[in-house]
Amino acid sequence: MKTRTNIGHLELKNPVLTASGTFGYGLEFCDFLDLNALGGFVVKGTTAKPREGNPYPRMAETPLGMLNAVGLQNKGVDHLISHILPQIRQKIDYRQEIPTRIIVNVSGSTIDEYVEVAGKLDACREVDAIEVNISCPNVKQGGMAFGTDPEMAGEVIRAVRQAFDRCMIVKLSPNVTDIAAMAEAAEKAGADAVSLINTLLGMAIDVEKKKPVLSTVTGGLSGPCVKPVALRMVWQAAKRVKIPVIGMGGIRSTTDALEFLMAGAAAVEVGTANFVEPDVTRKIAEGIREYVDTQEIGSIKDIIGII
Amino acid sequence: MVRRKEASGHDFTRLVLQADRRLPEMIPGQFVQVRIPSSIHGWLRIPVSIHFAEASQGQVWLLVQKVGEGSRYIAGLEPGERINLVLPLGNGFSLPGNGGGVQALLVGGGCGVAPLYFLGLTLKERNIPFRFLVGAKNKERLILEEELENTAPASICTEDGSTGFKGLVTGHPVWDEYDCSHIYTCGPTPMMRAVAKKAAQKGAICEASLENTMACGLGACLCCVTPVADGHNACVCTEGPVFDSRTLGWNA
Repeated sequence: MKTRTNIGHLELKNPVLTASGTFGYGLEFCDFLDLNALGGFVVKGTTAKPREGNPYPRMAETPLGMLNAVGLQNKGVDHLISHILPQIRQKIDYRQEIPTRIIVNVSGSTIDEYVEVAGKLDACREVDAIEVNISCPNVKQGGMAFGTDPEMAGEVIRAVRQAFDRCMIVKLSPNVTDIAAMAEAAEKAGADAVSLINTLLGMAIDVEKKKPVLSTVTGGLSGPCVKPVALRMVWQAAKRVKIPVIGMGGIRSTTDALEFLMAGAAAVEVGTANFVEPDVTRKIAEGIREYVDTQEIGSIKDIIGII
Repeated sequence: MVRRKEASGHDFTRLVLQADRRLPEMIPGQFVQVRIPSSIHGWLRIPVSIHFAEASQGQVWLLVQKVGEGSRYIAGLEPGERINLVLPLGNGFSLPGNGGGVQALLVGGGCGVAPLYFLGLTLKERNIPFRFLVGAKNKERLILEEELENTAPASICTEDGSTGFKGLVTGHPVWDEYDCSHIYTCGPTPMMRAVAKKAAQKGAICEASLENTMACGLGACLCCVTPVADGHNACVCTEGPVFDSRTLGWNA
């Protein structure tokens, strides 16, 4: 009870979610943890049609982080609905008062594509929420272009709002000057919540080969190295908007998660750390429960946004 | 826990790891993801192929070449120290049944010889005839020479001729002398591509083990992909690391 939190109307049993693209379809992690330990998990970026993503190499390890340029490789929304969601559903214990929530990250190159995916997911009752990804740095069209211009962001969000009735989270890009203005634009356009940060645009060069490490030259930086930047942006966004903020960026411990909650996040997403410690989310959820008990606070909600 | 540690050749270290329980069955060609201490030099796990395993005894052997900070850490572990592994990962080599005229050639380069030793022992157990063909830059960089020779006939190549045949593995006369139906290869990609071409000329099946850069090892991050024949980007960590060379489009 004490760890419950809310993303708009959607109640979570605890504030720990997984970040899109770092937890596959959840099924890949079932050998390491019971998905029911999580507040929810975010299924990786899904587009209207299957996408093969960018050429290899797509990853470069950097000090306490990594760059990726996957480029939204996925089998498309129809495959997700027909093949993946039925398997995920079997892993969720629906007898629990608040079952683990299934959130699908929605991506696209055009407004129509976002609307098509959101519309199809609206018909799937097991999808509790969507996370509209207007911040992918690794696709040529759409993605981040929608997420760095408040007007374009508003246009996508308003269109998707018409197609999806339940909880709509908008995932924001950190590659902007004023993150609070972007959060505000999302709120005005009808988002139920915003999540941030997506990856920071970066690059790495192989000096022996005299070439960029990534096939796409630039990619998205994630991991513990981005945490201070992410925390600052979450704090700024939470100060500006009334809708809930979901915080992410470099979280790998209970302490990291608590920092985000105190900065104003109603829930957190854990990303890159899943690669290093596949059961890290379960440990963080347990850690938060212990923190609430030992600090003798009534509810985790009591520390959200205290900074 | 590290039970035993041996230096092997130039810059190579073999670790015999002992778990305190039975381990899941492991197939040659599968790999483990080793957790390394988080530091400015690295944080992500490091994929290492299984050099030998005895699941019922809780034993896994790894053979690493000291190339980066992560492999230096693994090589620097001392007996009694603990190590965190995720295993077994990947598909492994397909193991033919015995009989039916199966004859195998195991072609390794550099550190790629490590998993082929495990494969050789497994083929031997199944009474499948095979030979090793291994290459290295020079005598100092050649590993497991004795172990291989104790398992099956082994042809050795070095680029500088400091031991064995002078030249690349693809130039060795064993290709003309030994008739084989299956070729298994692990090593640098240019070598494996050349081996796949030789295999195609001989009409043999060729399986190659790739070592693309990885993050998760679980098929979740989609960082380690390789394009396969149908145009799909396959995950090396879950759909591989072993691929039929035809799937990779390497035979042409």
